[in-house]
Amino acid sequence: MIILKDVTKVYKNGTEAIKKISIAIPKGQFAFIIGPSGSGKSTLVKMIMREELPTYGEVFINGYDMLGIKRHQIPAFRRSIGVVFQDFKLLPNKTAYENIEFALQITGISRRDINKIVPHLLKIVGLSQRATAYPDELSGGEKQRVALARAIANGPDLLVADEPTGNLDPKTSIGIIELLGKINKMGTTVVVATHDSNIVNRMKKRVIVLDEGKLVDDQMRGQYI
Amino acid sequence: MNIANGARIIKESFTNMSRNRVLTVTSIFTVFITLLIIGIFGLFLLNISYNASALDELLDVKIFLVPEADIYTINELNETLNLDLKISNVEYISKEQAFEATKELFDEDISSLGLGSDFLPASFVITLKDYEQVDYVVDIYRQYPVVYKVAYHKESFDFASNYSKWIRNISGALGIVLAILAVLLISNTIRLTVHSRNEEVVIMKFIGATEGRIKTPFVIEGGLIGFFGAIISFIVTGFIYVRIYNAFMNYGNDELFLTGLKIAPLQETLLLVFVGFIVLGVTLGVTGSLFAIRKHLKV
Repeated sequence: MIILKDVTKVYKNGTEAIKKISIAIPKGQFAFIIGPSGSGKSTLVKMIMREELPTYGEVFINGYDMLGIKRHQIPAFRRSIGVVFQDFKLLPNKTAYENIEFALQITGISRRDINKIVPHLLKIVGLSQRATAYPDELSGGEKQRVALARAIANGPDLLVADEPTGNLDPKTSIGIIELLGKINKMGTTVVVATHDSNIVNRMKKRVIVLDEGKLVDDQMRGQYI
Repeated sequence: MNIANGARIIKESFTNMSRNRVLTVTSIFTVFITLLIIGIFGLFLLNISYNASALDELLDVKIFLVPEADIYTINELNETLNLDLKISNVEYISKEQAFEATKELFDEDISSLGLGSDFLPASFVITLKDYEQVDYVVDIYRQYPVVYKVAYHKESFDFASNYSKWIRNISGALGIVLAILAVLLISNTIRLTVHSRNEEVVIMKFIGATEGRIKTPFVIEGGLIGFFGAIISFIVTGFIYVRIYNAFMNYGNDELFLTGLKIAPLQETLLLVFVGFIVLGVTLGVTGSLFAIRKHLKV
């Protein structure tokens, strides 16, 4: 569940990236945030991940108040969201299996459970045969699948993807977005920031349009026009 | 944190150290040099305090009495000395006691030399509350007709006290400078580790790792650098001390006997050095790490 109430973000250099936006994304929904470069998509995603805080207004994510959250609550909050980046952010010295395993180790899950969960995740993203490959040996689409498996490893309520297909060809992009749809069907709220019209139009999901920091359109079964 | 996680974090710290090998070795070397210098000066000071009794003897003032001094005059002087507020202790040594002490010292019958038991003068051995006033006290008692001579070791005292003061000051200053250098170098090593692992830190942050889980490997890395530096320092310092100790023991029986000098016992001293080095080394390492983390690791 995401709630933004009258949110404005002004950076230190004076740039007003978000201008008084109010949005609510209920649990289990799939939503795209679209808009041209500089529209405020990335800032909005960063606020959802609590990488940035609003200058004015309120942001509630999965029941956590982003301004009132205690320092020691932040790790638990971050575990309730999975994040996927355009540049995958995989550890180059770890195999596909180990990259996913890393997310579980960090949160202190036992070895026995890790050995059960990782193969299952690899199966979901269709990479069971590539478990021992290093990121260098994987294609762009495969890397993003590993990143997706890692993002859902701790069973988050919300998955945030920032330009997940930005570095992928159209065919691979469709594979990734279908995988995101599959994850959404399993009950996870999915928010995708993108300017890839192909994937937006294919999914026929909610589309939130930003322009120059303002919310200009919000359609439940929107199109990227 | 369970055992598997703890082992994983320690493994991570070792991996980091091997990634930044040159800097790690430099930092370990700095800790080594720092502790070596602190250790050598420390051992010197330890032995000086261990020989405090020898130094104390230097501080005693001996008032020798004329041979014809009678018991009444001696008692009178004894009373005066005991009432003197500048004096903390008075001990009377009769002619016979002085003779016995000399016999023991030379371990032979000196009466065979034809000297009687009264050839040595009776004396008072006094200890002053404040040795700085020695000249003043000596001048007073020297004027007593019953006093034949006043012997004291002002120069030796000044020499010993200045010497140990200098050693303490130099080792203190050097120790502080080197400790700061060690902290800075370790901090720099950890800073580079933080930078080289920035991507990993970002990933850990978004995966939901706790601050402790992210920072602990860096702190352990600093602690390990300090620990290894301390171990090497201990080996070198220990080796030097064993050599000095053995040389002293072989040499001491004859030439050093008369000086009354002693050397601090080997096992206890080495244990003290070991514990001290480990504590100091790990503290330096962890402090350096915390500096780097506070400045460069944004979690």
